[in-house]
Amino acid sequence: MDERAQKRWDKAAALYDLTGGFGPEKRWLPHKTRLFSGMQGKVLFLAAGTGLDFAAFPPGQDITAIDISAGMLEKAAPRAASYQGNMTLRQMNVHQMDFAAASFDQVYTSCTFCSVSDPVAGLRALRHVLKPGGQLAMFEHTGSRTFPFGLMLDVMNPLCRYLGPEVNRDTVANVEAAGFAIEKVSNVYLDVVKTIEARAPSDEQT
Amino acid sequence: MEKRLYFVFGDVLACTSLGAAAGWLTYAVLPQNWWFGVAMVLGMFLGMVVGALGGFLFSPFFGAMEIALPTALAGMMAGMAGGMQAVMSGTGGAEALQSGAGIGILCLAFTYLLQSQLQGEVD
Repeated sequence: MDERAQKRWDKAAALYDLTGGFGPEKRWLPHKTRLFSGMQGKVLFLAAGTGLDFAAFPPGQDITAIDISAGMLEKAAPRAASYQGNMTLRQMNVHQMDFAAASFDQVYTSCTFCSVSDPVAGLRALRHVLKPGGQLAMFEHTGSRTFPFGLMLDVMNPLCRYLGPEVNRDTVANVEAAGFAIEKVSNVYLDVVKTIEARAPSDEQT
Repeated sequence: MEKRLYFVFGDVLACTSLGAAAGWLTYAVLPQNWWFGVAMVLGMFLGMVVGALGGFLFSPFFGAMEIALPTALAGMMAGMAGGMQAVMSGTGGAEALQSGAGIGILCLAFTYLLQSQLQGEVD
């Protein structure tokens, strides 16, 4: 387990709902609801955080939600308990998941790969636990190719990295580098906040 | 493009107030005898810091990136103008405050225009 990251998110858990629970979540709710409406089969969700995303999940799903932080999961527990479906919370680092290969039909992420220490390795780990041909669906913020925002995010990144998330990652390229086939990319806010839908190679392709 | 009035109001409030703050602050802290170019560049940097950090005050109410990016841009541009005004004779703090607020609105309009072009599925 990455203890430094774990401690950082444990600390952040105390104020997480206060800083992100209203404005950001209300603003993104329609987009997240649309993305998560495609959930079906056995679903892995990361990172659970304090469970703010659970409100956008369709009912009746079989979801395993993981997070690196025990503090976050403690706050997420009541929200998981009130979910109208089957939801299991696990404390786990994406780099050290103990799920068997091909355990899940789908993997969903929400603002996760700005913080994963090695994003391509993390995405490869997701590919490992996905069934061949399984779907990866992500709601993420990334760097920008638009002037002046790309430059600004590059300038701000060292400070942001120190505080937690990175703000200039090319997550679409990282998904491709991890061996997924991109199916659809949609910009939610500028070319910074986006949804990414991709598929793991099927048996014949692996 | 954002059409919910609550969030549009928040965007306008954040960009005008932080643009005004960045414009006034750079005007107030940069010495009048500095070279124009240096004042402009330092004003941009200081303004971006004001806009980006100030964005954290509005973010819990109105959004994350949707607040952080336009306010950082508004701060940067208003700081540049404030820095220029600091070394120009005949301008005062009130002018820096007003022009900062106006620049904040212009920066928000720019991001809304960009958003209307970029949103949706990417080819």
